[in-house]
Amino acid sequence: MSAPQHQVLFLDDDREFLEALSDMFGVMSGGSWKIHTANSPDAAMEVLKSGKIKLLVADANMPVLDGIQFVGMMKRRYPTLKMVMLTSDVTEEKRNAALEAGAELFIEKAQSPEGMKAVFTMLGELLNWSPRDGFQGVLRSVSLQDVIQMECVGHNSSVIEICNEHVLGRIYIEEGQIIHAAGGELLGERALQKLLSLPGGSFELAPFEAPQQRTMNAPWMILLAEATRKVEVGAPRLGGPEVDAITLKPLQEAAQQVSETLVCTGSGQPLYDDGCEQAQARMQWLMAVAQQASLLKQTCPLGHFDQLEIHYPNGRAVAQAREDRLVYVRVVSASKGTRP
Amino acid sequence: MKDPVKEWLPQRVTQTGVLASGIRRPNGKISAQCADASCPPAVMENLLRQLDGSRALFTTERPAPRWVTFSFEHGQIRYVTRTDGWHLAVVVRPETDAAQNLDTLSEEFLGLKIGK
Repeated sequence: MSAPQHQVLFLDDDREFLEALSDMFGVMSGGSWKIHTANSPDAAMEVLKSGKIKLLVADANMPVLDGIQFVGMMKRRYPTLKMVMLTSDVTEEKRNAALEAGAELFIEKAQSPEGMKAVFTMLGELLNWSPRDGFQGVLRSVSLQDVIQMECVGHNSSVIEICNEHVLGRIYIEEGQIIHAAGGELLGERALQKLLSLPGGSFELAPFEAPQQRTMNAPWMILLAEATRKVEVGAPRLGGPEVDAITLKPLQEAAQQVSETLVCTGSGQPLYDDGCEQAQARMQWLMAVAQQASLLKQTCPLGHFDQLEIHYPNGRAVAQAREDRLVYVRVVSASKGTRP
Repeated sequence: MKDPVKEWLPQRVTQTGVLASGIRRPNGKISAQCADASCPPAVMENLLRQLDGSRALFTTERPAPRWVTFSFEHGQIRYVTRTDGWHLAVVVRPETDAAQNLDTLSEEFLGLKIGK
């Protein structure tokens, strides 16, 4: 018999069930699990104080303090403790509540030896599972744009996995450039727009892995600005054409060489500067652009100012001047000359 | 002598989505035409004056811009300047045929043979 590798605590007000579980899982684990049992939250808390418990398996339906409330409390007290909810009363409402409280799994109590074996396998997987590099977040508290910007400005390579109840999506960032996005049935820029338009959900920043195809070539600043503008106008619907060729064409044309990039806060604090020889002057210029746009808007009411695009013989520049940010990106067409 | 711009412009700004257009001649004379009540000729004339003032924003840009586009929530203003002093301004609704045709229109204006 091997020495116990994992200490597991089962919490249930049914003593007979606890005994049966303890015997069965003890045998199944071949002694690699040290199994603790508690038939009340008080008793469970005493065991948890040892700090050695790796997995807590709690019954959802208990008198006084139910398992879901207990899991929520323990998640705050022991953030790294893995927790599973076991119940004979499975409802979608309870499942959501348990997962929201911090349980990793929500499992129905098995009634047969085969079922118990399946539960044991799931718990074993969870015990041996370790999180990947990266971090997770909730889109209501962190803007997806912020995460993308952070990755791009840092010249990082990563895959941002986004999910909510309606859509699953991925945004591929390689060395600070957005190279591909997939969301629902959409690909490329339309997928990026779709994902940016999600009102909520969760994301995970995963290590980079190469996508099967590359659907975006434009500088990330332009992609993000265009996608944001499109989102403000109206997000694309799922099921549309895979790639919006009209949208993509000018971006692909502009993809050749970024000669100048400046990102500032709305108050003029520089956030990112690449190839901008006179950042202060450029920032003042952006503010002057905003003033000019404001004058034009007063003369002809066309809604809020979005951006100024300047077309040069050898490329183009996009300037955005908003309350919260000032952005300038200039790209030079490789086929039409060198940097300005 | 016929004014080629006067003939060309009305033929070229007929697409869906054009709100108004206007020309500023080298002598400062402005002519505007309206395609939508939201942007009458008087507004277009004012816009052209303001756009002329905005050229100061681009004097230090090298090479000199061929055209600029101010994009707003409900419209785009394209402003094209020629080295001989002729200027074109067109106001269009975004994501319309007219908006998609702005580059072609601008290229045509820049290539237009206009007598002295």
